[in-house]
Amino acid sequence: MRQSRSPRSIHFPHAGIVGLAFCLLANFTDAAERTADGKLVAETRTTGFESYYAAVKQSSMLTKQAMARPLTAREHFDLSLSLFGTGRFAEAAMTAQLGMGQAKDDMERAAFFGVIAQSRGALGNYQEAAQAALEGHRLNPHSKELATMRVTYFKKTGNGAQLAAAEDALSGMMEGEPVSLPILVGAGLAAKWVWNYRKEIMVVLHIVGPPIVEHAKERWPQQKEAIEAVILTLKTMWTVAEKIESATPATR
Amino acid sequence: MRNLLFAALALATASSVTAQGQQYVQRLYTEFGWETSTPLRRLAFKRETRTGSFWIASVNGEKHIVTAGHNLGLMNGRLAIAPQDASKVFGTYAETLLGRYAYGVSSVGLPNSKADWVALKPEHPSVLERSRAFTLAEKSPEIGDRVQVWGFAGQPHPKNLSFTVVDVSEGKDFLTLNDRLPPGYSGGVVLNEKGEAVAVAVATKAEHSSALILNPAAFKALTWKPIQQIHGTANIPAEDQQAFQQLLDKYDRDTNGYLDDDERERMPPDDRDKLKRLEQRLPRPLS
Repeated sequence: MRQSRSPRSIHFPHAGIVGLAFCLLANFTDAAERTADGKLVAETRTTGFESYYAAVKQSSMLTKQAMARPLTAREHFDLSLSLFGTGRFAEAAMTAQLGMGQAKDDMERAAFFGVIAQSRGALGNYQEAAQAALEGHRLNPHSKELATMRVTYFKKTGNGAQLAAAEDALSGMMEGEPVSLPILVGAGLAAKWVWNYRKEIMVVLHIVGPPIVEHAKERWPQQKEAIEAVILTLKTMWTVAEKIESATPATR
Repeated sequence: MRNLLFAALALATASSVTAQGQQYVQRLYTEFGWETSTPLRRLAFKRETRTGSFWIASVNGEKHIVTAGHNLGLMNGRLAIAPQDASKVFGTYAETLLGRYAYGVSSVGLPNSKADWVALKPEHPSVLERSRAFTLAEKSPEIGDRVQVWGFAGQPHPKNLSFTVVDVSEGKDFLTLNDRLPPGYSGGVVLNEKGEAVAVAVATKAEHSSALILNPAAFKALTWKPIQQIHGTANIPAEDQQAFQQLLDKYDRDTNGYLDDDERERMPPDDRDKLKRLEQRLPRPLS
């Protein structure tokens, strides 16, 4: 019977050379022995093969362990997102649920609820997805993503009261935050100050303006024409404003 | 330009002041559902969403959520829905939610007078924490008083309307306002000129509307029941539904899929009594 050749030897003829290079590099890896109380007692130099394979095995085990059992909220969140991204929605929801116990505050819990809602929604469990989005939105009322998920999933469930409440919450968020009174008063006073001292400001600009324009032309030589055009427009506007000002009766 | 600037400033200031009213009165949502039989002998499930208003009353240091009873589908302390033919309803379902974040209700306080207002206890205390409470007015309203009604007229933010009290009942239990109220104001608060709560808006006609006057004694006399007990009043157990369906299937039904009087006459007395007993448990239409 004809023996088949190893596929490795056909497609990777330099595998041996690469392996040898790894071994030589790994040969310089140090390993230390410690007693039970952590005291360093000896330093030995292991052979290349042993240290290389031990290191690979250890790192592989650690990676698998970390992937299988995330510890912190951040690790749970990252893993749940990775699982969601690879289409493993049930596992993503379960990981997010486990991570909820490690969450420090309501914001982190809301983020986990967001992952659960999307994962349940992707699985077609719209009732659970909608409830998760609602819980998350209660914890983080400023999240437009959770508000949108609430509307989307309650629309799927056909619950009119929940949908109406979700739509009200979303539309209320979309209207924008009202500007506070002190900011408005401050802006008004600043505008009034500029209006009162507009002539003095223009005199100052006449003095400091040309050096600034020259510096701008040097700094951005490609925008030289654009800068000159802006200056010309401003000068024209100022001339027109001066003419209107001089023609206006003094009783104004 | 100066005038324009200050006009814009004044407008923005006015709008920010109006937005502060959000936390006073909130929207209440109730989803009703009921199962009916169809001519094809199948059960059909219908849904209906109603919205109203609710607010928080501070009575002797205790906070109560106040709304109109019919916002929960209650009429005379009993769940009532309005399908075309209530006799065909097998079972009902209702869910009441408070505010934009859809908090549930744990129990309902029913007044002894069976008037159309209720007090509610939320499942989660957030509703009470996030809302500002109104103090009840010590003095009853009088004819000619100017009042404001706050409520939701189908938009995410509350609105308010000004009225004059044109009538107060002899028992001082309800007042009449001089104009109609748009839909959605049911359960809204009626405030006097001092900003104190005097009544809860409950009904409207073409040219005037009515509100129930509230006082601390009425809150003391409330009978508290779990919301499941209220919403479950008209629900029929599954075994009764099955028995009802079997009775309907056993005899010839009319074009509406129901048993007419002639057919009932021909029924054995046992089945007739059974049918009568089951029908008595069906919900009544809203009167």
